[in-house]
Amino acid sequence: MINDENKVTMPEKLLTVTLPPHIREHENTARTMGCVLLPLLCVIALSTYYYGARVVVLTAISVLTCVISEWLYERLTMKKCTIGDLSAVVTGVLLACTLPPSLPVWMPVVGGVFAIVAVKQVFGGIGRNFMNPALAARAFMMLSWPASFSTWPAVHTQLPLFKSMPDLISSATPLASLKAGEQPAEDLLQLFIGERGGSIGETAAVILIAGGLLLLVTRVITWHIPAAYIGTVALIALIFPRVSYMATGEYLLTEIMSGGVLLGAIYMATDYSSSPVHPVGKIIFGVGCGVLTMFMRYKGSGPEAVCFAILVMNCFTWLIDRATAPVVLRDRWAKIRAKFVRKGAKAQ
Amino acid sequence: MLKLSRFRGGVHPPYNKRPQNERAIVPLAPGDTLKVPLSQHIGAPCVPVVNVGDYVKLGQLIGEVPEGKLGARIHSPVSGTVTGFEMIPHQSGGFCKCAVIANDGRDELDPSIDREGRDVDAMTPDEITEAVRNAGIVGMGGAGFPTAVKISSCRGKTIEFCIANGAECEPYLSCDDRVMVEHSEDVVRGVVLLSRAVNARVTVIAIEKNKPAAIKCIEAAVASLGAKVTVVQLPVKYPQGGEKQLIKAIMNAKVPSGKLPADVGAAIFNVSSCAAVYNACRHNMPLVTTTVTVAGSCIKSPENFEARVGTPFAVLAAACGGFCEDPAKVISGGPMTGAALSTLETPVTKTTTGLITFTAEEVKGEYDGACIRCGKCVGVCPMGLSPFLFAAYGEVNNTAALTRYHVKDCIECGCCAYVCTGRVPLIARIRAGKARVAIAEAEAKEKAAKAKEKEAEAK
Repeated sequence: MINDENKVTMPEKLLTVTLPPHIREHENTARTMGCVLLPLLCVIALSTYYYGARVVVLTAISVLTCVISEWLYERLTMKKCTIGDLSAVVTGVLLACTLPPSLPVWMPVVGGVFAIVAVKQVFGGIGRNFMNPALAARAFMMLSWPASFSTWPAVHTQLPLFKSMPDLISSATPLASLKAGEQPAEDLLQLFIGERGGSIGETAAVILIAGGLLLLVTRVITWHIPAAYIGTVALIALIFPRVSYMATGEYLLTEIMSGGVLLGAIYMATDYSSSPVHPVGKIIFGVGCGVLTMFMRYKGSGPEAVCFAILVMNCFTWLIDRATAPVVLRDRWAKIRAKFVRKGAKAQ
Repeated sequence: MLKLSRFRGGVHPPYNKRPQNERAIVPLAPGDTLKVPLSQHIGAPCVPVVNVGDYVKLGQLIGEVPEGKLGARIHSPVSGTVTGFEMIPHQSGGFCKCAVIANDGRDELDPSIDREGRDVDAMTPDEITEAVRNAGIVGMGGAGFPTAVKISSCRGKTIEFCIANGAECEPYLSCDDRVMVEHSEDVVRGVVLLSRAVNARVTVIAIEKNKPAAIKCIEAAVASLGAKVTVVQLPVKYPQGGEKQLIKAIMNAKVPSGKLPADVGAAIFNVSSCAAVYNACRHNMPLVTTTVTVAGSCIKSPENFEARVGTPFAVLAAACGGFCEDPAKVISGGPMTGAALSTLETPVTKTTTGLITFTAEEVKGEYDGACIRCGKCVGVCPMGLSPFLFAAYGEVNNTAALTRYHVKDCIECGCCAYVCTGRVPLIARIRAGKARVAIAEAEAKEKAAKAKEKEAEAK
């Protein structure tokens, strides 16, 4: 009942009403994803120089598949379309980075659909996937077509644009050489500029590191995961070297720059959705990735380990996050100090 | 000299304090009709003590605090006739009962107001508290906690520091800055009175470094009055003016979860409240005016006004020369914590600090995304909380998790939503989460009471 005394006067002109804050930083998801894309595209460009335009074809197919499957899934499930935030593009490029350049060109279609639909969208879309979509898709493809994932063309082989190459002779990647107990054919400088066999994105350490610095400066990532990851790899390589004929420093740098450690530590393990948020948790996560990587490299059946190491740690993310949530404006030591003071008072 | 420490987190929004921080406070002529809300503070709304048709004088009591409830008295801001009571939109959202007063323009003072002024140096703590209670003073930083209640809650506790908060860390606002420049002696005298009321050991006026004029004026006033007050220059960071952040900066102490500043020995008052306290003690002058900054991109020339309580915001905007562009959003208070208004007919209250306007361009695309777990909110949270978890758990109504991650300790400063990459409306989610927790707690209490009853019956 509204009586005369409680008369309600209605507004004449409509204004926007939201809850505070009413100002905000000019940052959004698309811009963040753009920052990640920039160094990755440089990596793709260099890989194109080493292996020919087939790299571009693989990348384009991977990106297109990811974007289209995201759009289609959201269309079919009547969700808000999120292809504008560029996260599907990043997934596509990251997936391409993990593929061998000689892979049949239709395979990224399967990988892309798996990454977006089975790993990302089914769990609720951006921010809710518990695994890195690109790595999960790579693991899926690697287990489905092991032969294609063990053929590594030598650098400077100009690969055909679309044709499959069943009789391509695989060259030894530095990791495979280390696994076999041999001296890798590449020296450190070659590793640094990426003149070696491997996945599309495993080429140049220099670009990956420069891109990592860019992401640090733009505050897209923090130092915790990459530093913990690479640091752990270096520490294990330092304490337990698996070859005896290389100088410690040389061996250490070879372990870091070969395989996917840099790509994984800087671009994959730092994936927001599938890594811990709190700083301490990030360090635990990075150390875990490093330990698993080295364990699988040393004791695993294949030469590579980064992909599965990160995927395993992804599964621990929520557990780590829960354990490392910060203590609220509460004195961590208050209880202990209280006991101490009481004891002191008694002694007096 | 005090050694300052830093609080964790915080952000550096563009402050946009110019040119209003150089504009002198202009007394704003009250309009013909004023609508004085009967709730301008935290607590229960006041009960009107005047009737429709009564003639009231400036400073006359029109709203009394209900017996035994938390609140602050309301006085008439002008002299004139009470023409009725209305429900009108309030700046906190929702509606509030207001006393409508037709201004006769004569500003006849209530006889209780002492023009000459009495000797405040002889006042005892009880007298000060009583004067503050009679004047209906509230915290003028925005929260509106009744000052007399705050003083009473400090009595009986050992208060180390009495702090006048002149941080004014909110962007755009310059009302406290101007009060410190123009009424510096009132501020200093006010905080000295408050310090005596709470029996504090050290009296501090804390000002952010980006207000050099205010610092100079306050220091000069302290020197000329010979007051035992330390002026502290705080680093510029939002939310430096938050009570808990101020305590961390000045005392390097943390207020435990669920405790008050008084529990760690601090009593904090806004500088405008300090000036009001001095006027209340010396002249028995009730709080009927407040300094309001009018700024933002739609305002032709930003100004600071000394506005009577009950003046509609439309009058303030018109006094600035109107809008140069139609505002899409109008905020009462600062842009980080202020409330968006649905209409410019909303009246100014004791806690109003600013009227900030935004264009349609600035409002576009404010909140539209999903959390990508980038963790920026965790980095900037001055309370050390994980705001993204509140959004995630709030959505699935997991009150146990919300409690576990201390949603109730959130001070709603807005840093998390300010930096959010995914543009999640975090403060909205957190407020909803707090409400959910409160409901769950009430239900649990009820359940426990019922179970006890049953047990008793069984016996």
